[in-house]
Amino acid sequence: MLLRPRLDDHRVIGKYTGKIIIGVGLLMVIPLVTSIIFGEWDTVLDFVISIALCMIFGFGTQILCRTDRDLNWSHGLVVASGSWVVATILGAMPHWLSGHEGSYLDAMFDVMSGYTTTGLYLLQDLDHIAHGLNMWRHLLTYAGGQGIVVIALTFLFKGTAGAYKLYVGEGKDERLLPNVVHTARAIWLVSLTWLVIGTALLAITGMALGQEPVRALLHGLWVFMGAWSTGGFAPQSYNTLWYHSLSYEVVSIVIFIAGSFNFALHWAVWTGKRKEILKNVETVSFAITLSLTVLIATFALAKAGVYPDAMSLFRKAFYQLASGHTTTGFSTIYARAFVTQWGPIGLVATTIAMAIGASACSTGGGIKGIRMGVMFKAFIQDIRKAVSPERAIVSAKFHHVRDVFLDDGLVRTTMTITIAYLSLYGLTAIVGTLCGYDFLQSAFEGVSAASNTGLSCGVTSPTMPDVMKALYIAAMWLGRLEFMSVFALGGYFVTMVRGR
Amino acid sequence: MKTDRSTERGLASRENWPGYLGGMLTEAAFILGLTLLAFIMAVIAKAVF
Repeated sequence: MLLRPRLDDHRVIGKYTGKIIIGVGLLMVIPLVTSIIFGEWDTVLDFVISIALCMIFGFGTQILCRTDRDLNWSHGLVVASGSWVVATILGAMPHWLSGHEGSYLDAMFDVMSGYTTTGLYLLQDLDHIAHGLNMWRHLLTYAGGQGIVVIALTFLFKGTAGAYKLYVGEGKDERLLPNVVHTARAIWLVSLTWLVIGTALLAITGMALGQEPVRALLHGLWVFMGAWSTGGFAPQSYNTLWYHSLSYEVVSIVIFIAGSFNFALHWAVWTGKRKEILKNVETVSFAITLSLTVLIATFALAKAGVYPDAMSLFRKAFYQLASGHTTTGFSTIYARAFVTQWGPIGLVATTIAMAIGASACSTGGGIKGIRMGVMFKAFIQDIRKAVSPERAIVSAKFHHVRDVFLDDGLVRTTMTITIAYLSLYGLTAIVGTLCGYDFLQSAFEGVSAASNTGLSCGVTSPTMPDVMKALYIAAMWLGRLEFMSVFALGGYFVTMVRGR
Repeated sequence: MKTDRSTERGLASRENWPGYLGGMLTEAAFILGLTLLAFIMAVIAKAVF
C-alpha cells in the first residue's frame, strides 16, 4: 500500500531544498563580484535579480516549512533530485537575462549542462559574453562536479543525521572519513588544492602563449573548472582548440583525468596509500578501456591518413578519447570533424569511451569504471563456476581502497544501474533519429548528454527541436544522479496522487 | 589510522601537506604514463600505415 506523504514530509523536503537554494544564491555572489570588478553593470543587475529570487525562495521555504524533523531516506533522495531541478530553474535566470539564450528552455539546458558537468551548450555568441556570466557558467560546472548538495553540506549544514541521505541522493555513496560533513570537506580540500595548482599552471602556460596576465588568469581558472569538474565548458567557442598549444593540452589532460578519479581514491593516495592508484579497480579498468579505445581510434585515423604525423595523431586521438572517457567534453577538433574526418570507427570508439565514463564518486558521469570492473569480475567468476566441480565454492573480489568480495546483491545493483544507463543511451539515440538526425550521430550526441560528457558532433544547437532539448535536460539529470533519487522523486509525486 | 588523525587535527593542518602534494604528484605521474602509452601507440600506428 502506498502511503500518501503528510504535511510534515512536505515541510522537511521544502526546508532542506530551500537551504540548498540559499547556497545557490550565495554562489551567485562570485559572478556578481566579477561583474562589478569588470564594470559589467547590466550583468550586475542580472545577478542581483537572480540572487534575490534564490533568497526569496530559500528563506520563504524556511518560514513556510518550519519543522524539527530530520530527513529520512526517501526525503534525502527527493531533496537531492528536486533541488537540482529548482536550482536549474533559478540558476537559468542570469543566462536568460543576458540575452544570449534563445529561450528559457535553452537557458535551463545550459544550466543543467553546467550542474551535471556535461558541457553541451546552446548559448549564443559565447566569445562575447560578459566575464560575470562566463564565471557563472564555469562556477556552475565546478560546483556541480563536487555536487551542489556537497556544497550545502560543507557550508550550510551542521552535521544533521540526515546529511548522509542527501549526500547519497546526489549519487555519491563513499565516506572518505567517518563523518559525512568531514567527507564533504575532504572533497573540497582535494578540489581546492587542485584548483590553486591547476589554475596557476594553466595561467602560466597562457602567459607563455602571449595572453595578458588578467586574461591568462581568468582563462586558467575557467579552463581548470571545466577540466577538474569534467564539465567541458571553456571560455571560447572553439573550446580548447582555441589555444593551439601542446602544453595547454597536456596540463588540461592531467587535470581532467585527475578530476575523473574517485574522491575515495584521491583521499587514499593523498593519505599515504600511493600504490592504490595501480591496484584500484577503477583506475585499472580506466587504463584498460581508455587504452583500447585510443588504440582503435588511433589505428583507424592512421589508416585513413587524417593526420600527417605521429604527434598530430597522438594529440588529436588521445585528447578526444581521454576527454570522452573521463566525460569531460573538451575538444581540440571542430565538432563536425567527428563526422567528416573521424568516420564511423572514430565515432563509435568515442561513443563507447563516453558510455563507459569515469569513476564513481567523482565529478564524472557514465556507467563508471567500478561497474565495468564488477561486471568483468562477475563474468569471470561465472566462467570459473561453470568449469569448477559442482560443490566448489568460487569467490571473487576486487580492490577499491580495500578488498571487496563480490556478492549477488552488488552484481544485481551494478547490472540494474548499467541497464538503466544503456536504456537511456538507447532512448536518446532513438528520439534523435526520429527527429531526423543520422542514427550514429544521434547515438553519439545522446550518449554524450546522458553520460554527462559534452562532446558534440554538431547535433546540439539552438535550432535543435525542443523535444530533444527537454530530453537531453532529463538525460543529463538522470545520468548525473544515477537514476535512483530521480525515481524516488517520481515515486513521491505518485504517492501524492495515489497514496492513502 | 592516518585519516582519523587528520580529522582530529584538522584536514588542512600543515603536517598533512607533504603527503597531499606527494599524492598529487603520484596521480600526475600515473596520468602522464597513460599519455606516454598513447604517444607510443600513435608512433606505431603511423609506422604501420
